[in-house]
Amino acid sequence: MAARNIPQNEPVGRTGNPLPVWGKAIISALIAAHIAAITSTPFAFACNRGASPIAEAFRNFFLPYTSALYLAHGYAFFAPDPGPNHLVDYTVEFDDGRPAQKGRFPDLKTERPRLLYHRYFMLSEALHNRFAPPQFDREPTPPALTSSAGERERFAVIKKEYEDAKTRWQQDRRRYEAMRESIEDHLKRAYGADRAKVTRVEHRPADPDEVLYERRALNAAESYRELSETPPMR
Amino acid sequence: MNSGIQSIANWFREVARGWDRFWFTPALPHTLALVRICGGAMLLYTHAVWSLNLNAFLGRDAWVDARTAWLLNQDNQGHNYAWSYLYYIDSPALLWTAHIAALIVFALLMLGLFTRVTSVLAWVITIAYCNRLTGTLFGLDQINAFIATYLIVGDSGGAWSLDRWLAQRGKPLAQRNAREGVPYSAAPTIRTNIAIRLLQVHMCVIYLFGGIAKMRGETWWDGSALWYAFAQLEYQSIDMTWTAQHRWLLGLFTHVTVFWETFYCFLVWPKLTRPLCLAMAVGVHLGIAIFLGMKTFGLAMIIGNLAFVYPETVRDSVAWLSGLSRVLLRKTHPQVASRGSLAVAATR
Repeated sequence: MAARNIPQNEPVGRTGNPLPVWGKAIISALIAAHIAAITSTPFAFACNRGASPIAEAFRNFFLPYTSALYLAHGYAFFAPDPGPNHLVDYTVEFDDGRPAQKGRFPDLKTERPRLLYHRYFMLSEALHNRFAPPQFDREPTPPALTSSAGERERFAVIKKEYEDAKTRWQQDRRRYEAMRESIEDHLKRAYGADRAKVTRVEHRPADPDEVLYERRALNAAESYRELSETPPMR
Repeated sequence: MNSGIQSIANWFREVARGWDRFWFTPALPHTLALVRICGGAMLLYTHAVWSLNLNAFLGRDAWVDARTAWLLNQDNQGHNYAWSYLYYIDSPALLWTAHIAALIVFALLMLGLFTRVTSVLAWVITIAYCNRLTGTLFGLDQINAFIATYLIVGDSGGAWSLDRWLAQRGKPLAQRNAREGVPYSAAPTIRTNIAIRLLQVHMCVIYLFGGIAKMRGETWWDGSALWYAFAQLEYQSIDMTWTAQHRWLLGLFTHVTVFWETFYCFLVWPKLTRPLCLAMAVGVHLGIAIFLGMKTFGLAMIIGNLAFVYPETVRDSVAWLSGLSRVLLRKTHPQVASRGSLAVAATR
């Protein structure tokens, strides 16, 4: 290697004084806390996003730090399975008689370079990921009057869990509506339109057999479907 | 009993020594400097692309406006820790001024000018953009953010920077080094080592949980996951549907990917397996860059993996490449080579 012929480098700067033990102890504690923090969110993700009370408490403890430093990520790239992608179809309408216009994002033809296209792709994916249905699950049915004390206690726990989940749903729904309205407002201003409506679209990737034996193209019309804003209640 | 206590005490002493050696051994700045140059270039490019649609993403009437971004960043108790000065910028002129200033900071970081200051500013700007642009981000931004974070810890301007060039101007050693092609740099420091170690550990965390997440899926076990990645038209940059005829190949790469990703955090440390582990990382991320339309993300992950290359290796490799380029230049353009030799060496 040519590098062997190069004379030994002589450092020009200062190595600095070695750290005292107390200095190392403080830095070590900070390092340990930081490593705990960066593992807290992916660990909670791995534990079914909050199903484990320990993982959720661990994540929540570090959340102010990880959120502030943009470190709260699950790192689940193409996981658990590379699934369908989500696009957004939109229609803008005008009161002055101009015909309505339709569009879709992301669109590789108009959004260049690829990184800009990917921003639009993530926007449509984020809108889908934020979706919360407009109505929440039905309330749990109370036990019969003749039920035992144990059954009534169990129901009280279920009712509490239901109320907590309902509160979370209300917040999720508010966030989804805010994001959808923000996108619609942007479209209205961008087109000078009076109304805008967005629709989430799911694009299912073809199976290998469909491509191999049915000669199905990846953009086949039947692989796209509009997603309902009001899926059936559970 | 005494020997048992002694053994336990020895074990703790060994652990403490190992921890001390791992975190507090001074390291040369070359690896971190290379991460600064590549990471700085990626930050500059990433943010330059926002310029193409700045008002649509960050303006008053953005796709996700500031009020909505604030709401999306709130936790269920109503707290928003995801700070950003961009929530408060309403005027297009001010937004463009702040954006151009951000691009200048990233360029200065990449060049290594006023690195102590620009690294901190680059970190503040990167996090502010990420927190404001919620809803439009992906893996690239996560990698950009943590690289920017660790660049402020270490002496990233300690080599191949304008800071070093300015500091060495006129010094006899520097002149000799420049003549002889020696890559001069700052001395090894503990904080540079800590920065590199944090980068390394963070890469391990990403791959470990990435692998665990994949292990929960079905397609990563039945060998079809890679197909479903290729079959996503929205990601695809090269048509890979011909692989439907070679399912054993898809299966092989699917299984190798998930095992490599999960065990990266073990295989990347021993000297024996580190080169293989890193070669695999380069292969996987180049694959993502070339086939799945994410050149920036693929390259950002490769930049993160640079943290595992020893600074001496980085220094010697760059010196070797530089020597090679000078030899080629001398052969093809002898006059340019003789004029530029001092300048070329000084910029290393």
